[in-house]
Amino acid sequence: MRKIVSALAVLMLCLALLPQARAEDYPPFQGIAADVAGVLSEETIADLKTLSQRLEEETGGHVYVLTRHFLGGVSAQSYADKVFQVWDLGENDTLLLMVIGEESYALALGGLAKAALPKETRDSLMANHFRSAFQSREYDQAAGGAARALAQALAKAQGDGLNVSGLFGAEEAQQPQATPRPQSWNEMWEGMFAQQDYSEEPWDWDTEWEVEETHVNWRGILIWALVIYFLFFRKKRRRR
Amino acid sequence: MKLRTGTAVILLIVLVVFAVGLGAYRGWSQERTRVEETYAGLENMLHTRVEAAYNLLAVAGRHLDQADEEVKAAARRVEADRDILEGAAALRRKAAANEALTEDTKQLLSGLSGMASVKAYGNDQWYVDSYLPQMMEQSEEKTARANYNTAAAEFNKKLNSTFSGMIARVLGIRPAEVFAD
Repeated sequence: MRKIVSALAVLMLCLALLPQARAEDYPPFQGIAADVAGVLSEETIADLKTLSQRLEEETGGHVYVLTRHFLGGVSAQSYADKVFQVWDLGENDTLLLMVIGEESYALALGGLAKAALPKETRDSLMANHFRSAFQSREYDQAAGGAARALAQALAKAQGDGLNVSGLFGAEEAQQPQATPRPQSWNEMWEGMFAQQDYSEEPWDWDTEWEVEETHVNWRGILIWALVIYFLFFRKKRRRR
Repeated sequence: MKLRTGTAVILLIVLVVFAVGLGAYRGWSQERTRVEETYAGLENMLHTRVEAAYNLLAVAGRHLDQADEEVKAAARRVEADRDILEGAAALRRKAAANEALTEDTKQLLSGLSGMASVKAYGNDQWYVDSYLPQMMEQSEEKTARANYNTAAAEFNKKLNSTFSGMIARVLGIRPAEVFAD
């Protein structure tokens, strides 16, 4: 009995001496956004959850975000990899770690996500959608931009599109009730067609209205011609 | 008959000596293991000191270009203290480095706090004035609470003052190393 107790004591001592095995170093799993540093707004956290939900529907994967102030000398990449393991994330999942006080970040990916996004692609995405905002300490913009770009790239790699409208400050996709009330009959027809064509993309009124207007005018003319035909020409034919 | 009695007495003495020696060795080995267990706690706490030093140096690193010589020297000392605590130095040396780290971090934080670049740089003023001092203080308190020193001192006292302790020392049980004087 004493031998067993002694052996257990030695085993516990060995385990306690392992510096990397300290469970308290890693935050517990908190869902899509673990904002330990407290730098993300509620809106961004809500958008991250929505984005991840949409990505899950398309690919089965998630984009997780973890923020910390410092890592106490551990490299961001090894910390992110360890958290990925500790949280038991999936093959399609991606974890973005933002270390605020050390101005460093890292991505950890599951096997399938890594295959879908090679290192060059990831570096390019982060350079275009994350780095600049992160360096300017615009953490909401950085987390949102990176998560959106990663999610879109992951969905695209699997041949799916991903609806990101209404997230991270982007304009909501035009819903029928959100469309400005048309001022004329012609605009009414334009509006009808515009809603059909652009239901998934945010509508930029400044640039896209004019382009769409040229297409819809023809449709408007055609419809008006049909209306006139039915009103006048059909009657005339009957009279004959 | 005489021979048998003598043999029996010798055998008895040998058995008694063996039993006492074995008992002393096993008992003191267990005591030593208990002290080592508390050392694991101390080591864990020292690790938080090392982490705090890394964090402080990460912030300081952004401002050292614009810092005066005093701040730069404090940063170098914090780095040296951290390296000793992190390395495989003797426990007394680590204790000295730990004490020095307390003083050196205070000086570095104080120097950084007044710098214009720290004030202008994101969260750094908050890190320097609130977050990092708090972290250092907590790690200091935890290290002081780690009762390795008490356990080690008590173990050494008993080992040196008892008969079984003397036997255990003869059989190879060594006194525990004390963290601080």
